[in-house]
This record gives sequence, structure tokens and C-alpha cells, in this order.
Amino acid sequence: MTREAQVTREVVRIPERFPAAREWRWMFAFALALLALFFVSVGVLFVRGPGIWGNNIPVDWGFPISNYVWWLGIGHAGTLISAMLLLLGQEWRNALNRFAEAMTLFAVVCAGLYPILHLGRPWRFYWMAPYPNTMDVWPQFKSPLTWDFFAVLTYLIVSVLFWYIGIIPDLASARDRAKKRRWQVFFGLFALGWRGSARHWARWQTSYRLTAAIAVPLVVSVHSEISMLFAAGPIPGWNSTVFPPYFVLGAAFSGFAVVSMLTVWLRAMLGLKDLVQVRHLELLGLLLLVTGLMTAYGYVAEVFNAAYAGKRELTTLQDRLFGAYAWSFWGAILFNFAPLQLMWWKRWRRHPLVLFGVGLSVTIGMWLERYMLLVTSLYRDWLGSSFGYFHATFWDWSLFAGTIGVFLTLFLLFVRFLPVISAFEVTKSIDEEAHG
Amino acid sequence: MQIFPPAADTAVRFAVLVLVIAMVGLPLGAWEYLQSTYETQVGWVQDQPVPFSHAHHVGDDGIDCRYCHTSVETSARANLPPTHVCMTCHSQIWTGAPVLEPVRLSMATGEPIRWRRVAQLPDYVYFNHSIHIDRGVACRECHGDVTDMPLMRRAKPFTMQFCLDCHRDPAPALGPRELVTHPQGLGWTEAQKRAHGERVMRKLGIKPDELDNCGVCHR
Amino acid sequence: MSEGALNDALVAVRSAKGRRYWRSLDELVDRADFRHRLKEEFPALARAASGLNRRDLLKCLGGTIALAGLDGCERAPDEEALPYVVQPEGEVPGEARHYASALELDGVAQPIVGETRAARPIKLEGNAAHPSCSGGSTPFMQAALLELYDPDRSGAPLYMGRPTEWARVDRELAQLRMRLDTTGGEGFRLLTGPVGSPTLLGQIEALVGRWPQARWHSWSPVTDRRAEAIESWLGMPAKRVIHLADAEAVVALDDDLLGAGPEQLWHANGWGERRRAYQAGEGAALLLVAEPSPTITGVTAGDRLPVAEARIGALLSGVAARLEITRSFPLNAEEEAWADRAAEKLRNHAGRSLVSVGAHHAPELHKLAFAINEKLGNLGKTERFLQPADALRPEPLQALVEEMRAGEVATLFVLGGNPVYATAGCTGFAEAFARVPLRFHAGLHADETGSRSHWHLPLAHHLECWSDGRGMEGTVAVTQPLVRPWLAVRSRHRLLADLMEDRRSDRELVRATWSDQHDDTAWEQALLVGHIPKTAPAPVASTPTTSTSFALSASEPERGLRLAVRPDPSVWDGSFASNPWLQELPKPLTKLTWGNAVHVSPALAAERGLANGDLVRVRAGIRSITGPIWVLPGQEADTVLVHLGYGRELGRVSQGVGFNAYPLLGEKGEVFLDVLGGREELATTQHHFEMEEDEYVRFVETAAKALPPEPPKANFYPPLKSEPAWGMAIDLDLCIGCNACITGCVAENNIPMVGKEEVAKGREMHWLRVDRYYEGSPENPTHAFQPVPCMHCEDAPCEMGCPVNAAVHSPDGLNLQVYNRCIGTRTCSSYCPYKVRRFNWFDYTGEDAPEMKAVRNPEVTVRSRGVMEKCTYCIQRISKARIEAKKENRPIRDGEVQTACQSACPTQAIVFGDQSDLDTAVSRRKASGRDYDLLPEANTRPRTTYQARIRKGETSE
Repeated sequence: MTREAQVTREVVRIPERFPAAREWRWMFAFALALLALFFVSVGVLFVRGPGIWGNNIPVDWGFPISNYVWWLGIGHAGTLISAMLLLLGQEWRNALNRFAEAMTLFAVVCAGLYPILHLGRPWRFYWMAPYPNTMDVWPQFKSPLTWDFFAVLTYLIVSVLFWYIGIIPDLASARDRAKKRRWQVFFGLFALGWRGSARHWARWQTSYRLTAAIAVPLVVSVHSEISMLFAAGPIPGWNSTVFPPYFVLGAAFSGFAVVSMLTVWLRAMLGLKDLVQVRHLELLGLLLLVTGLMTAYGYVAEVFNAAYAGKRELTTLQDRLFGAYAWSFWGAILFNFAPLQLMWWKRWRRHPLVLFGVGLSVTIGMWLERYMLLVTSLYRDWLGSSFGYFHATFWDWSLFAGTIGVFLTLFLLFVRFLPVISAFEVTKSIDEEAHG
Repeated sequence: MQIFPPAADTAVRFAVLVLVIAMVGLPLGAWEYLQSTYETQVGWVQDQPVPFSHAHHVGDDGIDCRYCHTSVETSARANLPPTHVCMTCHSQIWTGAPVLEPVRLSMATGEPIRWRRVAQLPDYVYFNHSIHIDRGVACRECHGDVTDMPLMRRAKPFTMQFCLDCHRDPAPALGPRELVTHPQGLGWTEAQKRAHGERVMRKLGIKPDELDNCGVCHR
Repeated sequence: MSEGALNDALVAVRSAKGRRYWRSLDELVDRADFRHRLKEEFPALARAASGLNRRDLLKCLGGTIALAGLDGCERAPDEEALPYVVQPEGEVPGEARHYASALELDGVAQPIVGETRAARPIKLEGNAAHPSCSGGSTPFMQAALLELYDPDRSGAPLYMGRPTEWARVDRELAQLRMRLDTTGGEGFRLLTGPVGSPTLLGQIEALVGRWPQARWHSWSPVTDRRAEAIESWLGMPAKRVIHLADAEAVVALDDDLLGAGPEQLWHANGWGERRRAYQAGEGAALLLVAEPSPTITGVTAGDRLPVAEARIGALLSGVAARLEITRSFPLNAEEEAWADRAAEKLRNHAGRSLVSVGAHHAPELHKLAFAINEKLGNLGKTERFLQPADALRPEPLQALVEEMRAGEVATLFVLGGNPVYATAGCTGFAEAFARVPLRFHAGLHADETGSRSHWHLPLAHHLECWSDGRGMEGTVAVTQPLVRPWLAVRSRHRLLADLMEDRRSDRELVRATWSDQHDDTAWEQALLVGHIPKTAPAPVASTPTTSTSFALSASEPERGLRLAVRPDPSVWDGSFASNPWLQELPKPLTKLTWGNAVHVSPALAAERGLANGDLVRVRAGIRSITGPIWVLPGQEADTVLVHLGYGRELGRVSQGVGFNAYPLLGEKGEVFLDVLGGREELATTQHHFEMEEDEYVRFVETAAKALPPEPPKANFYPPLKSEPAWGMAIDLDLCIGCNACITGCVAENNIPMVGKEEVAKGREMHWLRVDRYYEGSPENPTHAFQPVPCMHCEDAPCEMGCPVNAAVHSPDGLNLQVYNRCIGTRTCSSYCPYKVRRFNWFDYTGEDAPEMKAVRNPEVTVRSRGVMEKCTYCIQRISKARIEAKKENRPIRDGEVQTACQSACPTQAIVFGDQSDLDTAVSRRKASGRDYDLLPEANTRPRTTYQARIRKGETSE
């Protein structure tokens, strides 16, 4: 049997003969537990109100918004890897793009939940959307939040499209190789009658690249928009023009971190060693290093600007460095950049566990950064009289853990029932290597 | 081994079509629903303890609105008449009528009659009758022609849109002050109404661009 | 409940089935059994529909359904309308009615005008028509409204703690009356608080006249030794009044003139008037204060000296010596300097100056102060003695306690007050009280005293009964009911009348007191304006009988801590402990709510390593109390300050809040602090008091000076122009930080109280807060107050942030918050540089008791869970004025719109009006050189601006 055939079989057979069924069941159970926690937290939230969180005046945005930014940031890596690198013709992406995209999708879902749950009257969230109504009132288009609404929605839709279009050919081959009837029907339905004819491929190529072309600018625009949430406010530590690029880079950084973790994990669990090769890990390591350094530059730039932005910015800066929440600042620095330095060495980049560790620490570090950005700016903004402290409550944490549950559940289902790697693209590239 | 017959394609295409239709149709449906008399309660009749007929009292007997709704010119609220206002007449006429039993009972026991509201706004809307009357906005503009209402019903959809339409273009609703309580109106044409209204607006300095700000009704 | 449940069920069913058209009347007839059938058809609905679970369930449902997007299908629920059966004379439903009346606090009448809606009192203001009030009010006056609606008020007589009927009380009183008639009142004692009501005095006189053996005792929880001083100085009892309005130089020694209490309104009015005159260039307005712990008087003073309470005598002698009255005790350098300044100012303004000593100080000090005032020719001008209006005089509490101990008291009738709780530990009242065979207690609450009495008789609130009283300067104010009592309560007059078998109604009783001098028309007039003219007592010829040789005790402070016990600025002597508005009112200096603390100086805190919240035991003599520490800058190093009024045994609101300091009241000698190690969280609304280099509050040296001009700032947007353009000016030089504005705002705008935990989390709901800052050394810093309502910025960041147009700008310059549009993203608050917005984190209003709902202002929306709210410049009052003006086809007059905070302010520090018209009060204020924006660097163009504080009280040199 040819290499191509092997690859394809290896990948598309996964759902049917799942290699790590037991591990998967344990993980899934864990994910479901977290999911349950999510529903409990939301239930309590609806019954009692946002007061169950630690938010107060002045810190009236707390976990929900910082977690929202964090999740959305994670989402970005998927689109970057698949869309951007696709357009740049980086073949090596083919090993990663499928589950990276999936990751994007589910992260955006978690992100999208937060702004709604965070509302005082969540059941009115649709008032942010412009629709004809008997009140003759429209959203306020000057507000960054209105654009948040569009940004997240657009991003979600495009990600779904991109991911789905990408997966169609593999669904088809899965269908063809499926032995059991129910699998045939399952894959068959979603394969939309793909027969791999030249016409199909031609059209597929166009639509896939087209969606990619739409997705790429979104990566930049969405997170720039999110950064406006802060940059538009007259709050020392927020009101800065550095934010859009700063946020986008941070987003990519955190995203790649999560991708690296997932890669190492899937590679080990599903035994995809010869598909997801060491060189992929190495490239991920490099991406991490590069985006990380860019983010670090963002930090420096922010400090530098603060130094020139007058008294209040300076006091806020001092507060971040030495104030009540200094731990979040130094924590962010530590987790984001200390382990990252290992990525300078080839042999660590190629070491799965190290890569995983670095990814984990960066994920934590970026969370701390979002927290720091939000809280340290709000808790001491302008008037000395209105300074006040923020303490996260149990329900803050439970909802956060809950959203992680949402993510894991979806992702595990994806791993279990869909081809995690774009088999046809891998085969294609192998093919090209052979004949090119 | 073919799982799906060729017809499956059609099915899928049809499904897609349905999806598209739904995506367009549902909002339209919702919009229609919000406009519907079911939602706005226009034309619906509330069951009342006493089947009071405006058609009879205003139409046949020609009693002026202000005879019962006394405070409409001075207060934010027009107010329902106290029981003893009903009894001023009904202690003389229809003294035995069974439908008036609740009224007599109320007078005897001192227990108020529990009317069920027909014209009703949310608590966060602060509508002031007196100023509308003072500007010459006739009762019928909102409450309709009560002379053909054997049982009181809502004549206009009391939606924010309804209020705003008038606040943004008051001219047609501004009638002669002294005839505000006239049930049918004066049979003027739209043009006549508007012409008069615009005169009133000039005279009283009514500025529509200030009338549609939230603070006018919401506090 | 089941009735309501059924209605719920019916509503649910009806909306489920949709409305029905009536085609004929016989359909109407079948209505009754139609309902009946429904009831049988859907019993489940009726059952489900009850209690809290249901509410939560529905909320939860509401939430989830909403998220499913089905929310649009909600439909306005049916409402009923219940018109009057017979409409009361002059009542126009939907319109407010106003009545002049008076409250009473510690025997002093507080003239008010009460606003009622549908016969419900919903707002109280000071009655400027009364000579003792030139407008404004105090927190206590404002909060008296809630006291009326307090769900904890006792509504039925209690016998041995069990509810009973008044009929039984009447029988009991009849028996008592018979006993007293036979024994001539043997062993009968009447105990009251300070009595100001001439009618009540008349009744007591009648009582003692009828039963000669009976005795009347009176006590006040707040020690007042000035009366005895006056008597021994003048040789006759007299009432003392000081006129701050005429006093250009005031020296207050440990005397909280402007502080909370019955005299606050009068003094604040006077101070405001004086200070405004000074600003206008007419004379000086000097205030020199020496006190152990900062009070709002000390904060207001231009010259403040922290000094131990025991040194007040020496300090006073120093001042006196400098005015050649008596020899001086040795003073330290600081005290010498202060005495020099004080004496100089007093002399410079002789005849228009005043020395005053705290009422709790020894009579000798008061007499010396009187002597100084006499020598300076201030008597009859800034300090006046009035003829005692009352012939009969009560006997002191201690005498009563002795008799009770000796078992000579057969019957004790406590009329008002709560002596078992509110008496100094050293008097031993509580123990003696228990030995009286028959004990009556009449009061608003079945409190500590009520629960220890055989009979507790619920007393009517001042807003629901007839009475009279004397204002600060003696003019009689008439109290007329604003509402008929809905509880089975009786007035003080009624009770005494019942005891003496006087059948006249309360109204007749009060009327009778004044019948001789006033015919009915005069009486009607009196009721209209709220006072009876020309009833102020004549001044006494103030010639001291005693020689001016003063036996001042040379109380040299041996080392060690000294205790200062004061009534609480929020709950006073405890009489307001069950009033949430006052419990949640931040205390002027500490911003503490819901509890009291052991206040110590920074020096002491540093020495003992104490931090805010550390639990300590305070021991004095044989008694001790335990409470949390609060470090108070400006407090004298060795002084330990505690507030009375907390640590109550009973009451849903008051129970378990703070600690009871009465045991320590009157304890002399050294006190000891033992650190207990534990901590207690204190709920404060401000964590950061240092002003550092930020000029939140600005200062100018004298009234003549102006602030340096602000450089004009670039701005993308053109300034808003409109007529009217509403704006507010707050003069920080007039603000004394009394909190009247906050309580006024709470009452007007239905502001919910959230409780200690929420306040501690930083979720208090006050739309208006009074910030307090200090600059300089913690030993004796310069304090400053700053009321902060919404700034109504012309370029408002909040409006830019709101995604749903809930925060919008009105054409007349208001920064509106539309509750029903708000979805609670809280962006507006995040973006607000002044953090004046408040959020409904929970449903703070839905679960309120019906009484608490009755107090609400129907002109202001009650906010639900999850919406943002903030100061509206009292838009409801603006709307009212606008509509009235339009109906009369004229512009709104200046002063026609008064915001709640403005009308509550006793010093007229707050002015509101149209700033587009240059001839309005607000425009004139803003034109002054002291006018400035808060946070100019934020460049938000606030409509609320401030006038800088003036450091010096006189323009000379």
C-alpha cells in the first residue's frame, strides 16, 4: 500500500478504531464534570444576579471580561495557522491546521458566552444587535461593545465555514472507508456527496482559499476591536494607542501556546508521530518564540509610553509594578517569558514535554496579563475616594472552570468523531515531495 | 455500495433552502407578531366588573370626558371616577339595574370597584395627561372614538413607536385646545390638521427634536 | 397568599389561552364560574405559585427562555385600577400635597414640610417658614420618614411580652388611676426624655397637680450639664441659644456645634449665613476649635487644635486669662499659641464673637465661658438666655434610681425613650428598673426597655399625631399628622390623657394649649405655616448672680489614655438604630457604615501596632467593651473615642450591629486597651483619604483670592448650548459634611439600602457621596469634604461606551440613564472617571416589605436587578417644573427646580439651575474666582463644578 493510502487510512480510521479509547473516556468524564459545573454556575447566576461575582464599583468588569479576552485570544492561533499559512503556501501547516481550527472554533464559543453572561440582564443581550423593533431604538454605534457583538459573531461564522469546508474531503474518504453503516451515514451526510471529481476539487480550492482570505484580516480586526473595549475608555492604563497590535500579538502568542499543548497531547494519544513530526513541534516552538518576543516588545512599548503619558499613567504603572496586584504583573512576566527562553535551543524546541510545559506556562501567563490589564487599571483610576479592591469569588472561578469544561467537551468530541488531521492535504504534500 | 440515492442531493438542497427561508422568515414573523393586535392588545376587551358603556354615556347621553375623568387637565393622571360620581346619577336612574350591583355594593361597603385597566403603560413610562391636553392633543388621539365602544377597548398600540411617531411629528395631533374632549373630531382633512398643528407649534414653541429624548418620558 | 396564587394562575392561564372578544353580555355572566372551572382545571398552577422558590424558579426560567430568544413574546400583565369610593376633599390623585408640621428630637422641635401622595408621606423638607429654620434639613429629619414606615415598629400593646388589646390597657390604666386617686400618686413615677412640647408639659403639670405624691423624672442619654451651669450662674433656670449667624469669631472648646443632633439645623443655618456673608465681604467668619477627636465642626474650623478632653478647662482658663478674667493654668507651647490666637480673635470681634464649651463639660467651664461672653459684650447678641417656658421642672434620673433601689417606686411609667439601654452603666438604672413592681413603657419599638416592662404601649410617630414643640429659638411649632396611623398606636398626649381620663382628642388637647391667645383663623394660619407667631420666650436680664471666681479643677493629664464617649453621628443615642437609611449613612469622618469602632490616633496605633479592624478591649474602671479599631488622623494622641447607639439586643436591623458603649459612659480615670488578636471587617465606603498632590479639593487663602485660571483645553466637540442648560455648583467652603444631602437624595430617589456585606464589597448605592480627604501631618491634618454627585459631563465617556443607548444626553444638558433600556454591560461605570454610577448587582428592591415600598417616591422608577443607575439631577423635579412652566407658557424660573440634595443642604452649599442664563444663582456661583472642575485633565466638561474652600475666616492682613 502506498504512503498516501497509509496516511489517509491512519487518519480517517481514528474515529472508528479509536486508539486510546480508555484515556479518552477518562478525559471526557472529567470534561463533563466541568461542563456540569458550568451549568450550575450559570443557573445560580441567572437566579441571583451578577452580584455572586467579586465585581464592584470601581472594578465593575472582573473575570468575565478578562476571561473573554483570554479565550478569544486563544482562538486566533487556529485561523492564523491554517488561513495565513495556507495563503503563504506553508505546506507543513497541513499536519496541524485541522485541530487548530477546531480549537479556534471552541475557544470562540467560550469567549462568546462570557459577554452575554456578564450582562446585568442577559436576556436582553440581543438589544446590542441592530434589528427593527417597536421601540424605534438602535444600538449605539460609537460603542466598542456594539462592534464586539459583530466581531465575535463574524469571527464565529467564518471560522465554522473555513473549518467545515476544509474537512469535507476527509469526511468523504472517511465515509468511503467506513465499514459500519451508521458511520457511513454520519460521514456521508456531512460530506455533502463529495466524490473528489476534478470539478469538486476546483470549486473546493476556490472556496477554501476565498474563506481563508476572508479569515486572515479578521484575525487582526477582531482583536484590535476587542482592545478598543479598553483603549476607548478614559482610564489610565487603558487609554493607549498601543493596544490593538499589542492585543493581536498577545492573542497569537497565547493561541500558539495552546496549539503546542494540543499538538503534543494528540500526537502522544493518537500515535501520530510520523504525521505530526518533530519538525512541526520545532516550528511551533519557533512561532511561540517569535510571537512571544513581539508581545514582550508590546510590554516594553507600553511602559515606555506610560513614562511619557503624564502623571496618572505613571502612577498606574507604578501600581502595576508594586501595587496590591503586582503579583499579576510579575506573574505574567514570569510565566510568559521565563520558560519561553528555552525555545532558543533547537533541542528543547524538538522536545515534546518541554514544548508542552512552555505552552502551559504561556497560557497561564497570558491569563494573568489579561487580569492585570483589567483590574490594576480599574481599582485605582482617578479619584482617591473611589479606589477599591477586587476579590474573585467562588462563582468567578467556577464559571471559568466551567468554560474550560465547555471547551474540553467539544474538543474531545471532535477528536473522537472527526478526522483530526487533514489527511488529503498531508498526502498531497507528500505526493508533491515525491514528484516535485 | 451507494448509501444515498441521487435524490439525496435534492433533499440537501431543499434543506439549505428551508434554512435560508427560516433565517429570513423568523425575524419577519417576530416583527409581525410585535405589530399584531395580540401583542399590542388593540381592540381587545377587558372583562370588567361592570359593563360600563362609553358608547352610551358619551355617545347617547353626551357626557363630557371631564365629568368623570376630572383631573385630566390638572394632573398627570386622568383618573377613574370615584364610585360616588357614578352614584350621582345612578342613585336616581337605573337604581335597580342588576349590572350596577357592584357599584351599589361599593358605595355601601366602601370597597372600591376593581376595574381592569385598558389603557396601561409600563411603570417606567411617565405620561402626563395635563400637558398633552394643554397642547391640544385630543383624548381620541390615543383613546380613539369611545362613542363606538360599548365596552372599553384599546384603540391604539401603546408601543414606544406609537408615542415616538407623534413626538417626532406632533403637528397632525395638535387640535384646538377647547375641543380636546370632542369624541369624533372635527372632520378636518390631514392638511387642515397639519396646518393648524404647525400654527400651534409656532405659537407654543414646540420643538420635535427635543420631544423625542429619553428623559421626556423615562426617569 | 393562595388568593394571589390563584390570580397568578388565572393570569398565566388567560395569557396562555389568549384574550377573548366579547360578543355578548351573557359571555360576561359566565365569567364567574369560568374562573371557577379554571381553578379546578389547573390546581397545579395555584400550588406552584407561592413563595420564594417560585420566584427564583421563574427568574431562572426567565433567564434561560430569554437566552433562547423567546423573550419578545412577553406581554404586559393585566393590571387593576381601584378608584376612590368617595374622593377626599382637595385630593387630586397623581398630585402631591404639602403640610407644615414638626418632628421632635431630644425635646427640640424640627420644623418640616411633609410631601404626601395619596395620603402617604414620601418626603420631608425643612420648613423655612419657621423662625428657627432658614431651609435645609438634617439626616435625622430626612430619615424620620423611614422611621414612620419601619416594619419593626410595634403595632399592638404588649402585656408580659404578649400582644393584647388597648381595651385591656384602658382597664389597667383605670385601675391605676383609682389607686393613684386614693394614694395621691404615692410611688408613681413618670420618666421621660427631654420634653419640649408645651401641651405635654401641661399634661404632666396636670398629672402632678392631681396626684401630688407622683414625681416626674427626665433624662437624656447625651450628658448635658449646661443647664445646671446656667442656673447657678444666672440664679435661675433659662434656655440658652447661640446665634452663629451673628458670630464673626467663634471659639468652640470640645463643642460639636455643627455636628449631628437636635441643634444641628439651627447652627448649620447660622454658620452658612455667616460664612456666605463673609464670602460677600461682610465681616469675618472665624471658627477656632479645640477638641480631642475630629468632628465636622473641627474640620470646618480654620484653626483646629487637637487637645485632650481633660485639658479643655486649662485651655479655656488660658483664653480667659488673656481677656483678664481669671488666672490661667500652665499651658504647653501649642496651647499657649492657640489661646493667644483665640483670645485675639475674640477681642477683635468683641460683641460679635462667641465662646462655647461642650455640653458634657463641668458647669465651671460653662460659667467661665459665659463670663467671657459677658465681658466681650456677646450676651444678648451671639449668646442669649431665654425665660424658661415651663414652670414645672423634672427631677434627675439618679434620684429615680435611688428611689427604685430603695423600693419606693410602685409604678414606673416610661414615656418614650429606651432608658434600660440608653443610660450610663454607672447609673445602674437597668438593675434598679427590674425591682419596680409595675412597669409601663411607651415607645416606637418594643425595645430593651419595652421587653423588660410589664406593659409595652406602642407610641404613634410624630408624622401621624398631633403635638407641638419649641424650635431652637423658642417659637412654637405645631405638629399635625401627615397620615392616619395604620397600626394600633397612641400618641404621648393620648396616653397621659387616658391615664387622667381626659376625653378630649389629641387635636383638641393641642388646640387647648393655645386657645387663649389664638382664635380659629389664627390657628388655621398657624397650621398653614407650621408655627405659632410671637411665642418665643422673652430674654432674661442676664446679670450673673455669682461672682466671677471660678473653682476650676486643675485637671492635669497624668499619662495614660483618656476616653471620649460621644453620640453617634448616624444613629445618635441609638434611637435611630433600626433605621437602614442612617445605618448605611457613612459617618462624616470615617465613612464607616453599619457599626461603630474604637477610634485611636495614628500615633497610638503606631505605638501599639494597631490597624483598622483589629479587635481590642477597652477597659475603664470596672467596665469594658470590645470593638474593632479605627485609626483617625487628627485625633489627640492619647484619646480613645467610642460612639454610642450600637450593640442593640433587639430589632431586625439594629440587632448585633456594632458594640454598646453605654457601659463606659461617664467612666472617669485612665482607660486601657487590650489587643485581642481577632479582626472584624468594617464596612467603609472610602478606603483612601490622602489627597497627596491631586487637587480634588482646592483651596484659596481668603474670600478675596481666586484660583489660578485653568488653561483652555483643546476639544474635538463644540461645547453644548441649550436653554435651559442645567448645571450645579457646590461650594466646598460652605459644605460641613453633615450628610443631609445624602439622606435627602435617598428619600427622593428610592435608593435601596444594601447592608453591611454589600457595602464592604464596595456596592453601596448612594447616588451622592460626600468624599473626605486630608492633607498634611496625620497628627493634625487639614480635612476637607467634597459632595460628589454625577458630574453630568458635556463630553461624557459613559455615553460613548453604552452599546444600547441607555446612557444618552438630553437637549437641556442632562446625562440621562434610561433604566428600562439598560442591559447592564457596566461599560459606562468603567469609563466614568468619577465613579458616580451604581449598579444593581442583585435584586435590591423586589423583596422589600410592603411598608418599605410605601415610602417610595412614585415619580421615580424603582430599579430592577442588573441595571445601572446614577444621579439624575432629580429629573422628576425638572420635568414637573418644565410641564408647569409650559402650561403657563413661560420659561422655568430660577430656583423653581430644587434638587433633593440642594433643598436638604442646611448651609446652601449646593445650588442648581440654568447656567445658560447668566442671571441665575448657579451662574453667579460659577462666575466666582473659586469655581473649578473636578479632574480637569479628564476634559469631560462637567456641569457640576465646585467652589474652592477658603482657608482663612477673615480677609484682613
